[in-house]
Amino acid sequence: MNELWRRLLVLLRRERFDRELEEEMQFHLEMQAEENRENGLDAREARYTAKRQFGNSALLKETSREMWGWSWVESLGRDIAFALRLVRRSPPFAVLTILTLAFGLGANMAIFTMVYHVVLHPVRYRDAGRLMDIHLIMTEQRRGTIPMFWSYPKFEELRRWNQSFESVAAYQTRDVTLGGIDRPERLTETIVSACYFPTIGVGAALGRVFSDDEETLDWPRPVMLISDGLWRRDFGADPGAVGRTVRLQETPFTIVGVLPAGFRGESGITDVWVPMAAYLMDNPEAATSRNAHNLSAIGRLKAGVSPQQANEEVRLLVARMEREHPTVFMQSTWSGGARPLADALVDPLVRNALWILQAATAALLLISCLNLAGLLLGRSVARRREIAIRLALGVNRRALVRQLLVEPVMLALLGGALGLLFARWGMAWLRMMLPASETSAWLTFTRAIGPETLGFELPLVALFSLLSLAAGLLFGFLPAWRAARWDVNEVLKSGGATTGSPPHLRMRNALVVAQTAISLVLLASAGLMTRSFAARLATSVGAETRNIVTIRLATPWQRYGTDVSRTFYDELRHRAAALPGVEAAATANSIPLSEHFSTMGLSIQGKRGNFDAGIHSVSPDYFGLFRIPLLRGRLFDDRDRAGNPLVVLLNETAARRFFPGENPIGRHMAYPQMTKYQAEIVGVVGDVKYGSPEKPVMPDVYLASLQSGSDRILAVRTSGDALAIVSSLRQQVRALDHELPVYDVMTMEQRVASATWRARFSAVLLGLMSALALLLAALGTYGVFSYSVAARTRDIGIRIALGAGRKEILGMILRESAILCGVALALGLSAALALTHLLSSQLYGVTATDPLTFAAAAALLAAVAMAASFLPARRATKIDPVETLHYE
Amino acid sequence: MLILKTLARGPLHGYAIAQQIKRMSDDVLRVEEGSLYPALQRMLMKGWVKAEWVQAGPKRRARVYRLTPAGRKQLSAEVSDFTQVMQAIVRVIEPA
Repeated sequence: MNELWRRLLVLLRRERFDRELEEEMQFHLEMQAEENRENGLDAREARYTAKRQFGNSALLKETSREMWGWSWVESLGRDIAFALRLVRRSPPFAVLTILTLAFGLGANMAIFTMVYHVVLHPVRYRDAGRLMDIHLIMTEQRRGTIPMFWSYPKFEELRRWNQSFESVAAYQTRDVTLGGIDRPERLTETIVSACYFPTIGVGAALGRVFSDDEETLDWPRPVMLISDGLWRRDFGADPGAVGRTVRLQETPFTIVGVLPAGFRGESGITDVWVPMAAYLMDNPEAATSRNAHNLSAIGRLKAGVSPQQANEEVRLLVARMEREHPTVFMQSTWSGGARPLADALVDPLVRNALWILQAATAALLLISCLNLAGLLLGRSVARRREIAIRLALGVNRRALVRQLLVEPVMLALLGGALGLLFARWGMAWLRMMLPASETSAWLTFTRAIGPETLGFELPLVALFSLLSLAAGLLFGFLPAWRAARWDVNEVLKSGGATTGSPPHLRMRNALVVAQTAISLVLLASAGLMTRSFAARLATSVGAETRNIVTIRLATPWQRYGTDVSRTFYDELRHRAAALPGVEAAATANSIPLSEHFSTMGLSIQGKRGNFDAGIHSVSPDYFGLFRIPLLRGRLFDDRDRAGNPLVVLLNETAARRFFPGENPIGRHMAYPQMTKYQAEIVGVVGDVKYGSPEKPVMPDVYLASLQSGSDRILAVRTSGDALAIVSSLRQQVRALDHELPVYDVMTMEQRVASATWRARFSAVLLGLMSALALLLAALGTYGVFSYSVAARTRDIGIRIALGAGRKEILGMILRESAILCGVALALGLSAALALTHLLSSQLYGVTATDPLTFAAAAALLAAVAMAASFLPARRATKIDPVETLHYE
Repeated sequence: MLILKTLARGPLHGYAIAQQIKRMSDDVLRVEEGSLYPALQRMLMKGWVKAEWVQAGPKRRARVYRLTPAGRKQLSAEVSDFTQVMQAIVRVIEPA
């Protein structure tokens, strides 16, 4: 410790130490001179001899100074100053390097931040590794094996019987309307057990979280918690919000706490939390019904229990539950398990897509480094004489390598700093490409990627700086190492001129080949993803998507019974249809590309067994609005209202599946709540994609709005821009009920974009990266051939003088280029064939080894590479033999 | 080690240390200035010696070094190491 202090002192008082050393040595010299005089030498000779005896004082001072331990700092400083001078002498190279690296490093930083937040570290709770998602597993013939929610009685048993968890909490997410504030708002709400917040380790930022007694049915008064975002948005960040009473779904609740900023629950979009008692109040039979599966469960492992042990215990517990009270549900078998919470929150497809993008970005950085290494090799050749002289003067090779490395590392760090800036912009752009998190009536199994989740963290920045350093070392190492191994004599003898094959040409060729091969892999991948995206877009939705806007309304059941609801939506539809610019208006409870209700257990008169189908309630003009074709029978009309016989429509898939080879018109069906086969099938309409466009169409059954009364959505098709009509629609809604929030306002085009966001994201990013890779490959090829031609000027001049024609020279160069290209393509194709199967989970409509895509990528790359070598080849033909020989 | 031992007898300046070692070893061991001063600087950094300037004539000063307690410890450690090595070598050389 003291030693460090002494050394630091030297650094601070450097001049004084230098002076003292100088003085001390002077003293020594004088003493030595005195002794020499005493031994008989005259004054002048005495001093001279003393100096000789003393030795090389400069070297001596240098060695003494080295003892102070800071000499490496000084030499580093000198190296940096020298590198800066070099950079200033050739700014284009420096600028090119810094820009190239800034792009490569910045892109990696942006993508890795996404990977970090979405895949590696999605759960930020205290000790998140100990949190498990506990779930049931249902295996059923038609649906396979799927994870399932808990019912309240089963969850209670889990809580009572388990030994692996120190606490277990249940939660459920749904949409609610927040009233009692300036403007009623539709929000996402999560219902939680009282021990939920202690389990995940999140406490209130203001006020308190729920207490244990607030879970039971006879709770003193309804309490709720709000998110920080909501607190700022609707309550003006007023501390007095705690204690205020507002309305959720028309029921008064008192706010008892505000949660910390950035916390929005497992869904990623929750703004309001209420205790489990709220769920039980709304659904009294849920407390005892074993088959009402609605709850998710989280548990915190006890100390010393491993996730595998917990998983096994849950399996055994559920087996016991099934033995004592078997679950009767469509011939299914039930099991249970537990997995880390992080696994449950990340959509595996999104995870795959992000890892693929990360690999591509890393490949791009590698290509950049290879490119720069080639450039640097070229430059080091130009400096050969200077380096050889330095070696001759006694610089040791290690110091030389270090010196040669300073320039690339410095450029890399500068590139990294600029890259951080690029990364910030890149992140902003990436965020725009992510889907808008919608409030939907349905549970999202995986967390929505909200803007709060993507921020720069300090550890990431530190990692990134290391990466910049590594990049610099990577591309600088090769040239530096080769330079240090040069034979000094050879270089000095030849006087810097070149004979035979130019130095480093093989190495530069190898670098370009590697670069080009990797670019091919990127190009092929981008091609595959682009084709997948195009295929997804081209997949017919089965309905019109232009100029249609939809809005959702949250008509609360307390004020809107079935009759009131029917009248309301009918009235709204008429008003909307009357607005100027509106071509058609319809109401429904689901729209194309959105989630919808489905039912299992339809029964058909005359057929045995149960049938699954999606259930949709629509008004008659729904089909006209979306231009869904009528294939048989008739559509709904005014006859189909409450009190009249129930009618249904089938989609084509349902007709084919339920009535193969028969006419479904006139047949009757029943859904689970009905006692007789009351619904008559009156028509068959075209298939429409509900849910994800990649999934195949399922059977759908349509009910008439006026008979079902379960509509919640208004759809409007306009002749012009659909969004322009939204404010008029809001006015109409307000005119009918001024407390009704309007939400989920989207055009069908936006829905299509949202449904394909992952494919678009991947295709755009990969496309961008391959374009950059292509550019770099072109630059690399151009660079290496420029160099090769320039270095062989003399040889080519001689050839021309000996009678070689222009075409021959051109052919010679182009042949070399073709060989390099061929090798690169061969390598690249094999690599691509081996690697593209990793993309398969993301592909749609195209196989991982699609020959057309591969051929196109290879052709494009070959064309670019050959074109890049053409210019230097042409320059070769213009070499004047007289001039080159003269120069000799 | 030799420098430390020399200073153990009392504080000296650089030139005197060199002379002392030359004399005590009967001219066998001669400390080159090239190794003396770097060594002194290293010992200064390590805290084994302390230096101070002393008037050594009407217009000049000498830097005098003195051993510190840490230096004394270092000296005895080095001496015992050296003795061990010496004894080992002697054992090897000694006729069997």
